Amino acid sequence: MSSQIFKAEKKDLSSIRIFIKEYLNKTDIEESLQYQIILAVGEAIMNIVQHAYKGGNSLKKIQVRIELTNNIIIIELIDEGEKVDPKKIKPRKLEEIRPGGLGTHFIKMVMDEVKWIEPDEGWVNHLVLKKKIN
Amino acid sequence: MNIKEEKIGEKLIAHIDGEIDLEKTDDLREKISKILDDNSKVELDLTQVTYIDSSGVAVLIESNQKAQELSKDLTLRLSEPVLSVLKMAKLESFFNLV
Repeated sequence: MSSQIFKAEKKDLSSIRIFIKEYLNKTDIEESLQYQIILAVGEAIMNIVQHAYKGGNSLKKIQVRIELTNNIIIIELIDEGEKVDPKKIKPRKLEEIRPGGLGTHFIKMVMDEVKWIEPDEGWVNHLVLKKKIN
Repeated sequence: MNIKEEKIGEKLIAHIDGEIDLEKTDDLREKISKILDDNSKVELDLTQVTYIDSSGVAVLIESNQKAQELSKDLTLRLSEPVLSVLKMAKLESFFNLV
């Protein structure tokens, strides 16, 4: 498993993608699937920055963990922002073409499992994303 | 992300390269909006864009809507990553692609 803590700002989004990419590059996962995984993680991180951290907070942190085990990629995103209510997160209907509302759709399209679990003390939200690698 | 403008005849081509994410989209939105204000024919060359997320797609949607409102001719030329993301959003027929 690889783990790193990042600041919760927009300018840190690319660093998180690089961290994920570097791990995936060490696996046999093919390029187009790697891109989709990075996209899904990027969307989840963007949601954390925009919603849990109301646009970004340089004083706050996001912990990112990634592991490939038993042919399943597991990515965990742990933050200390505002508590998320998963029931309020809904993707928009794709037929309603408008800017916004696609991030959740991309995450659910790519990942096989998306769930929030109880975070360790000191953290507020703990999101787990899983993708089975064939 | 970098944006370079090239005028060919009456068409303005905006060559965009790099990654388009939440950090970059305000800047991209502003620049494309100005280009649409100032030109009747615009091509967004995204062939060198290596990553785009939903915030980048939102800018493309807004730009397309603005072009339609202003009766401007807007076309997009895409890289494989950008095309794959538009396909995930079922938007490939919403834009004029070249």
